[in-house]
Amino acid sequence: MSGEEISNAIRRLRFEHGEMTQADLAAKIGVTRQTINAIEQGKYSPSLEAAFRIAAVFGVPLEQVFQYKKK
Amino acid sequence: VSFREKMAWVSLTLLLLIYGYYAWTLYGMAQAGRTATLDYVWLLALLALLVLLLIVLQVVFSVVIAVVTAMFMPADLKAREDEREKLMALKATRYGYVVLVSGALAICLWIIYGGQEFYTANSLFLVVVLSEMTRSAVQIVYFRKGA
Repeated sequence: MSGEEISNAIRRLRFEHGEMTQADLAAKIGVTRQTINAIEQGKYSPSLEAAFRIAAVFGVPLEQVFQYKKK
Repeated sequence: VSFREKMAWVSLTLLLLIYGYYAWTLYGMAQAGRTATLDYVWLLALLALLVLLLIVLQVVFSVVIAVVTAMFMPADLKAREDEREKLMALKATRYGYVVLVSGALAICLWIIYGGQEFYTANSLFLVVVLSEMTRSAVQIVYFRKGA
């Protein structure tokens, strides 16, 4: 499974949550800012646990943060 | 650039410089034809000194980088190693292991077919250093690439 199949709306969700910075989100879910950046750019697919934590920070279901497109 | 990426750069650079110097010294000995009459106690003492220097320099650089990071990016310093960094470290170790095992097997064959101890012993040491350098280099590539 390549990372290209999974897209995400983290950038938009951060914008909608008062321009939350990558560093703020990283601190909330316990990863580095660089990891949030890699996830946003689709270079890294997070673990299920981290994905759920990101969704919980924004208060939305997982599928509103990550979208899986079948190739 | 994260704190751990900076440390990977430091590790790779120091390995290159310190063991580069050691390799250069050995090359000089080989050129002078001193490989058969070599004083191995002297060579081991030089190696021990260089390993000690490597450890001291790594500690010094990690303290300097930690202080600078604490001043300008305190969050980076506090951040624990996360899942992506652990994954990158594992992948990098796998590449380093391939270099180590391939090199060790090649040197075993070399010994069987009569390799001189000066060359085989130092080549084995070189393989250990190369595997460590591969680990740091692959880690840096992953840091740059994403994961």
